[in-house]
Amino acid sequence: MTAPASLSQHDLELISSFLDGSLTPKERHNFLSRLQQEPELRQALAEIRTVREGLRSLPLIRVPRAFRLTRDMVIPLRPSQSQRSRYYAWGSAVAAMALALLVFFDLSSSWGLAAQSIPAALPAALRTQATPNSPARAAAPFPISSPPAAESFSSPPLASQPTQVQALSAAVPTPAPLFGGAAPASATNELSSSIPQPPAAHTESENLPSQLRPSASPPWASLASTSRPLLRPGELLLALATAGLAIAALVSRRPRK
Amino acid sequence: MAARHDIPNERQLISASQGGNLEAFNQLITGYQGQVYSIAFRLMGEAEAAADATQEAFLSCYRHVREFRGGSFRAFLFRIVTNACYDELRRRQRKPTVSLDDLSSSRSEESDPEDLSVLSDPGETPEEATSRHELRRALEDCLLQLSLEQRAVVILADVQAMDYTEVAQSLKIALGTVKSRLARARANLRDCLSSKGELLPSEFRLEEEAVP
Repeated sequence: MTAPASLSQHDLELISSFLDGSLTPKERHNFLSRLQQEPELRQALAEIRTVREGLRSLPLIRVPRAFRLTRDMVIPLRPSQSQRSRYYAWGSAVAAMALALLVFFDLSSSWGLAAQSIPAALPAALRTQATPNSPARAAAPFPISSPPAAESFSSPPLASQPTQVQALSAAVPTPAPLFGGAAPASATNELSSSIPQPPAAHTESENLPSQLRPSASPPWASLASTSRPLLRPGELLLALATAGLAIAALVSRRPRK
Repeated sequence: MAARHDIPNERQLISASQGGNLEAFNQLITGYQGQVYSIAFRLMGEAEAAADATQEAFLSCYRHVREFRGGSFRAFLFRIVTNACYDELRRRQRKPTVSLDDLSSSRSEESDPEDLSVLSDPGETPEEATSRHELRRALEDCLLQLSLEQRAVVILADVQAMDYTEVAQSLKIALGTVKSRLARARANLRDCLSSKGELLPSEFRLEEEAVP
């Protein structure tokens, strides 16, 4: 036997729906009319009805064993397990945020102190180098014109640039050697060291607070020397909260027997 | 016949299961395990894999029974078991260890009358019982030749006698998709049975029956 070739997918769906009783009254009427006129449709209907009845006569298959659940099987799947997972996820997130806040506050406070020290140190160093008739000017190894101090400050001529570079190099922190060796000598550093330190400037700089002196030591050396505790109360609280959350998350993640 | 077996006090058992009562859930399992295992066996074609999928489905159902918000619990449960079978079959397709032919042959070996738990009709002659068994074997083999999507629809709609809405809920597909897949699956089964005509009892030899 071959399947009726003229049957479309729509006709197959009509037959299925007719057998399942899901046609509308109008569709059913039209289908019954077509059945009287189309022997191929009648044949397909009889065959598919036979298939459907055969499928519905298939028995249940006997189960090989009982599938009852025991306490041991369901304990790992109890709802508290998912709750513990949620607690773990939230605890991890809060601990990460606390850690980020700790780092942020620590960095921002350090940078805040550094930012305060640099602008305060700059004018003092500039005043020191811009003092007229200073020994530094007399002992300079290159010709220095003598413009007014205000003019040189507002629009410095080319000849006075090394002097201001020296002042800036004293104020702006320079990288320290990592392993105790000498820092790489730049042209600016060589120029600064070749100029003798003026006594007047030395006297003036001694009057400044220690952390604002334009000394050769970098500003973070003076920052380190300030009496600042290792962890301030807020940071200590955040660190303790982070550690506590991490421990709680680890404890809650352990499977409970 | 795989008739629908209503479980007495099903609603109460479901409510108790949602409260964590394992014994109540085991009563639901006892009522549904035959249908669930039959679906898994006919979808997968292998007894051991079907048993694993059935056990996994019941565990998953217990885990998610709180998410059941009413309606057809049978559709809720059958959806879980079909998903478990789909996952296992997809896993096997990625790492094939048994071919479809092997499945079919092992299925035939397992499909002895005892495994199929033949419900013999009283007054049926031995010849009629044998013919009916041949028809069932032919149908089971033809089912395995359908695509997985068509197989799932025809197992739920015809073997488990679910209505279109329940099938759509179980398989999470549209009602129109259920109708079209079911019509195509039945037509394919008809073609398959025609090719096995000599195996069929006389009343299922479609050529002869079609002659007016």
